[in-house]
Amino acid sequence: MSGNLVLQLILSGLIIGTAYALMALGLTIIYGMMHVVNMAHGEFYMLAAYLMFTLYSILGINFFVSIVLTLLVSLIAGALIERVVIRSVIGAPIVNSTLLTIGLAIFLKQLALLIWGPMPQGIRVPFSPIPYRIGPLLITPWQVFILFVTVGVIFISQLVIQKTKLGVAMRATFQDREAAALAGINIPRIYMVTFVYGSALAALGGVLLGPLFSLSLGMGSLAAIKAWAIVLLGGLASFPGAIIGGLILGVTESLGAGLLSAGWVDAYGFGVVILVLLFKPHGLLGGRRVL
Amino acid sequence: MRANKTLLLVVTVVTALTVGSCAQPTVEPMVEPTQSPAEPTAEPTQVPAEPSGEPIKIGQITPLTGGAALDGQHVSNGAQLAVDEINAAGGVLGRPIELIVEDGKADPTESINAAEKLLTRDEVNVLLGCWASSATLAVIPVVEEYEIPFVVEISTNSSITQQGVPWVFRTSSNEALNSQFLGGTAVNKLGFSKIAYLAVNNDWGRGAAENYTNIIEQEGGEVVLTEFSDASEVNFYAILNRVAASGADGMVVTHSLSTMSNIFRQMREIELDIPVLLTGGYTLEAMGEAAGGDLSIYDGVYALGYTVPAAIGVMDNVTAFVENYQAAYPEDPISRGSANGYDAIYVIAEAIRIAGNTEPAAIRDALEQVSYEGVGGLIEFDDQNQAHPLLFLTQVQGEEQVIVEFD
Repeated sequence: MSGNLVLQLILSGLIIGTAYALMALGLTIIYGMMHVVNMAHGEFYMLAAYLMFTLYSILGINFFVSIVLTLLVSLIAGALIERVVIRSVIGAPIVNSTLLTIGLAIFLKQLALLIWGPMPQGIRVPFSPIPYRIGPLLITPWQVFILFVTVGVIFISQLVIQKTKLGVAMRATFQDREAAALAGINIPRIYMVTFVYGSALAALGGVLLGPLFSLSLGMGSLAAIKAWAIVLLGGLASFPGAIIGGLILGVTESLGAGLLSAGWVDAYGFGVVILVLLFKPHGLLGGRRVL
Repeated sequence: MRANKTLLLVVTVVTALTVGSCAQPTVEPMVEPTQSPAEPTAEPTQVPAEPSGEPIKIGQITPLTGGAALDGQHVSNGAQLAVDEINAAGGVLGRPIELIVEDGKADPTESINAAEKLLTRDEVNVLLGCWASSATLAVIPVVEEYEIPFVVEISTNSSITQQGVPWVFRTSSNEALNSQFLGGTAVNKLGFSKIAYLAVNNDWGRGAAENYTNIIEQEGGEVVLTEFSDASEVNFYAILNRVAASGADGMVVTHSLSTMSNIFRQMREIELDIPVLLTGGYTLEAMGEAAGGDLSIYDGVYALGYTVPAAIGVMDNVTAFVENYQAAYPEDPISRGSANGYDAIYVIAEAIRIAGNTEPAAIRDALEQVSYEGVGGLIEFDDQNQAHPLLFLTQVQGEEQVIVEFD
């Protein structure tokens, strides 16, 4: 095995890993803040990819305008779903939100089947498919775009949470809901912001990965399973844990598939998750709840 | 941390359930079968006698719900078109044909139930089905018990006609015939010598990989790498990098339609430039849709083709079938499955004509004598009751899929 192959595999793994991290961040924030298990997270990812497909590929709207519109729609949809569906189970046992969001996921998936049908679709980005060469490595313009956007969003998210007033309110709610409420923080508003933000991260994942791969109705379920594995790997409700977990899963899968055998690709990733949980039951950064 | 433990449990259980439900049924890819009636569908010059008397019942088992519903619908639409044509032309033995379609859901158990219902309640004279190879294999013991002719119109698993059950006839091609033709062509005509094999990790992919590898090695080629991946896999960067590192000079791919755009786009992105042969017969139109309309990624790709769609515009009876089908089902994209359903009905009708009655044993004996020029090619059954429809090697050239070789 040449060193170049290993480097290329690591690069592919990192690109996918950053997108995994986006998905996992959304989940972990929603769980950490609201104690809601969102099983419909993957459907936000899938719906955003299909919406992007509709706006850009079918209606012919400018690519970047389509991205912005898709994210705007997902913000509004997230707010509506939080207000109408999720709010009723906040504070209830975790099983309630799990079952409720499984139902929501099934509903959203069937809705997508009704609208877009079962055939796989594709989005063709207005970027050149010819890769850049960086030494022995190849990376396409769209992959560079994915890397910049995900790293940027993660960085900005961290800034917002650490530096802004909203971020302080979120962290306060995260640490102690009652105390935060006593201090005058509008808890329902924080919940809505959290859910909308988490869903928007999933939608951004769909917008970025949709054009990289093909679109199918099952894409959300698979992405959500991986995101949950990352959340457990990194430690529940840990912001840095989700990022590190995403990168680890992406690189492990890529190296496993490229150097050993592709048929076992999910076994490598989930094997690492099991190993980590065996030795650190709360995940890599669990127990230190950090937002 | 109690909440966390509960969460872990819930997530684990739900993940297990979701993963389980994601498993795809083992169904053939959308390799489209081919067949159609030899009769040109010209307007009869004189009005044939109206068929009368008790209808001759043909029972068809095909998926009408679930992931394969669309494919199943194509097959039964094709069969219904043939039934309508035959009845309009006076029926068989002066009697009309009635097609009774049951939903087998591409599932073995459901298909057995459907067969029992068709045989005991509807008392059909002939069975047709069941799309998925695993479902077809499950129904074989049932037809053996009831001693009813069973025509298989689309399932491709080779063992279906290798079990020595005299009631089973297959009008479509099978994996062994396909690999014999394509595997030899890859080595001898396309000049593949070191081959990387990419296949989907199910009965179809594993079976095809084994068949093709045997043929390729018999012909003097070498399979240097075989990689299986999940039916829903979208990320092929790692595998393709490995193919590039293996020094392969050709790639054979057995994967579902939804996978195609991912494999070919990622090949271009990592600049892996070797010829590819697809063992599934997909239309360029369908592959293009999954690539957002970008046909350029498929340029040069070789694929197995059946008369539909490969010979549309080339063979007159194929062209006529497609026109008639589109007139009858304008909403339905043309697919090999429709031609398969269509041909199978004509083969059965021809056998009943030869038999002169609808006794199951007489129909079975007559099927052995059928020689019928169908949409899929000449249908005659060999010692194993297996027909040998026309197979094509097609290549994508620009925006067209052209025939470069046929068997």
